Amino acid sequence: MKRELISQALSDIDDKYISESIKYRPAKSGGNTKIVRRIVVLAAVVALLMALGATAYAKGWLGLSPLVVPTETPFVIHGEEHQTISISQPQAVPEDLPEVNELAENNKQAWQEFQDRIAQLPETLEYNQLQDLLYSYDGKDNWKTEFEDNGDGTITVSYNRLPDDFDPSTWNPTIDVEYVLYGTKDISTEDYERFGELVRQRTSYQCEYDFHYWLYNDEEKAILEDVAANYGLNLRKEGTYAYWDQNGKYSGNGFYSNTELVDMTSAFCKGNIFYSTPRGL
Amino acid sequence: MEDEKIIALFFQRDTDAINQLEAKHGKSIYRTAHNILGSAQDAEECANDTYLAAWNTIPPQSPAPLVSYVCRIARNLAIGRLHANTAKKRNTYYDAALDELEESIPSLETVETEYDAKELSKSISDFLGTLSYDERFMFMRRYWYADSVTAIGQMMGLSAHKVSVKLFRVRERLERQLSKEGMLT
Repeated sequence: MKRELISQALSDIDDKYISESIKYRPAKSGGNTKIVRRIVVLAAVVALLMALGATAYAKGWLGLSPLVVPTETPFVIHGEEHQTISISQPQAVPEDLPEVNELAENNKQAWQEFQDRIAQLPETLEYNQLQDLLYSYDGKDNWKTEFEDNGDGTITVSYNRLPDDFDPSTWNPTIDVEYVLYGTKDISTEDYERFGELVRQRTSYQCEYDFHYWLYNDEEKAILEDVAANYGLNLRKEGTYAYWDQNGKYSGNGFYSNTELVDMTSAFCKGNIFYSTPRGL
Repeated sequence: MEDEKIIALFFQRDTDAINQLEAKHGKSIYRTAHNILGSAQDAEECANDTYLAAWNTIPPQSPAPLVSYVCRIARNLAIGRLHANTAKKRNTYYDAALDELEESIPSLETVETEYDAKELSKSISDFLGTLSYDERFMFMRRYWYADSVTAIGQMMGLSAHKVSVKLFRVRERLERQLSKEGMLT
């Protein structure tokens, strides 16, 4: 019993100690390590602000609500559901903000052209084709894919789905799931290895732009720069995130008030995606 | 790839999220599971289950840091798997690590009914905050990740003996701390 108690207690230890001990970093010794708090993820509210400028805010803060994109799986923060706002597809710009609408439309067209062009790149086509080959089977949802090397230049792929009575909302990760095998197929070892190589390449790619552009190689980066130049847009370099609570209930732990967001937006947008400097109230 | 980008892939329901998660944190996940289970095959299955768990819980979760979230899942899955197999001998690093802790706080069982695991966990977390980074690293690698003292020594450039001695002292301090908080009789 004591053993289980200790084991369980260890399981609940503070996250920060788990992550700091992933790798030994002696330079951070001494217990006085400064914690650099990142501006935290969500809802790309700041991205929206970059796309629309702070003008929407300046119009009595009401410009944001119609722009929320309903999702089936909203973020849950502190037990409450939150919706997201698209970075690339600002929608429903209020009619009394024609200038903002024009900027948003320009941004949408640029994004669409960028997407269309990278979709035609040979590497993108190859990656998508191989991904379908490896992970899709008979149009069904696949939850667990297993690969077995046959040693003759082929690999047998097994496709498993979750049982019909599986409920992710109540599932306890400590309980094993009994998968249901629903199909197998053989692929070539060459295809399997090529896909792994592409994944490694894409995973390791880094460049100076915000990761929300989803750049995986220099070719895509060049296309992005070309599109941005054609549409008169600047490009963001760092990803920036913020929580925004529409009801103003949260003000700490990564949440920002409307006023704070306007101030932040002014700083973020300088020299970034749009030329005009946003103005707050 | 940055953790935020991986999480965003999960939110997009892009199965590439799994590949990216494995590429970035797969080793930590596998090692966590392997230290507890002591079997390559079990650890691999546990790692796969961890990816599934991440897929099923992100969203709605948006964990930061991602690595501790997935390692925690891997650890819980591994412990669950270990407990499920009652016939398994207690011969993993995890068992050895638990033995050490169990021995160092012998009187805990006499008051365990009055304290639940969460309170004990908070006490241990508070205690960790009082340690130096090196001491904390050793403690976490030994008792959370269940690494052997030899492996910890290799990570830190110390001998296994030195790690053992330091861990012994840390456990003594933990016992004193728990005693001070009234968790031991």
